[in-house]
Amino acid sequence: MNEIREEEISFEKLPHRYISKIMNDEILLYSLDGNIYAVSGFCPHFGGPLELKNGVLNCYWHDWSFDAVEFSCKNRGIKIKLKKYPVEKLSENRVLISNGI
Amino acid sequence: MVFNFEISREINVSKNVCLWNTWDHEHLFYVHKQFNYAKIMYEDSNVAFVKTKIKVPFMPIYLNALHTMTRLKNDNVLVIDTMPFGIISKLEMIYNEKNSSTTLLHNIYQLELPVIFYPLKFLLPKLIKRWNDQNWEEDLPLKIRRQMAIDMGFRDYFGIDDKKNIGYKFKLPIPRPKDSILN
Repeated sequence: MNEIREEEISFEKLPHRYISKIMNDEILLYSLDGNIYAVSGFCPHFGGPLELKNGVLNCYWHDWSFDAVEFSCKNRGIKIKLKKYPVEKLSENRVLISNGI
Repeated sequence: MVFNFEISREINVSKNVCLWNTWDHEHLFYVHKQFNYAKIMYEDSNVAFVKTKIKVPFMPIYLNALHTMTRLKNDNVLVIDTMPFGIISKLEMIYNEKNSSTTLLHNIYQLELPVIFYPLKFLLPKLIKRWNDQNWEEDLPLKIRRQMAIDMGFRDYFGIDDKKNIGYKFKLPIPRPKDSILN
């Protein structure tokens, strides 16, 4: 049976970036159109920092952009998606993140 | 006229991360304010020829440059830039890895200028230091973060890989998408 890993996160405001030892990843939490999303904060290209700008996740190292809802690359001819984590909203400033296994 | 300068710095990342940064030509365009154009003319596993447009420190002047890079013994790098007015810059980049997380970089500059630039000779050390300082400061967060990502199991064109942490093996040329702005 697969082990489900999850952690409860409190934050003051979104976007929120933190290193998760449970998920072994840098996780970027953000809100868009009333929904909360959690993705790996590492650009899958070379590991640069993804930031939410105008509804798109962008890495300034090489200007790679990703759809903030579908997580696919928007401006390179490459089929690659961001690693996403299921999020459950517990209260206004608390969420439960799991690895989705 | 020939001018010689040397700059040494230590950084808490591996030699491979430093080399990735040196040979990742794409970031010149996106990260460095002193480059506002870059196009690859040719590259293979030992050399790269890059057309660039660079901003001269302290002055609102942009110069076209042919930026050539050669891989030397021990993965040290020779960079020769040819610029307008017969200016030639030779830079030898020497990388000494003290341990897996610390690298000493030694940059040896040799700048050849026509005699008409003689009145500027007192400005040259400041100009080169400023050039080096700005590039260093802009590169620093990339190298530190890149090392952190690799230590956490990051794989290029994939992301964090929980199943196998293969580290990073430096290999030239650094892969670029077909629609890269440099192509």
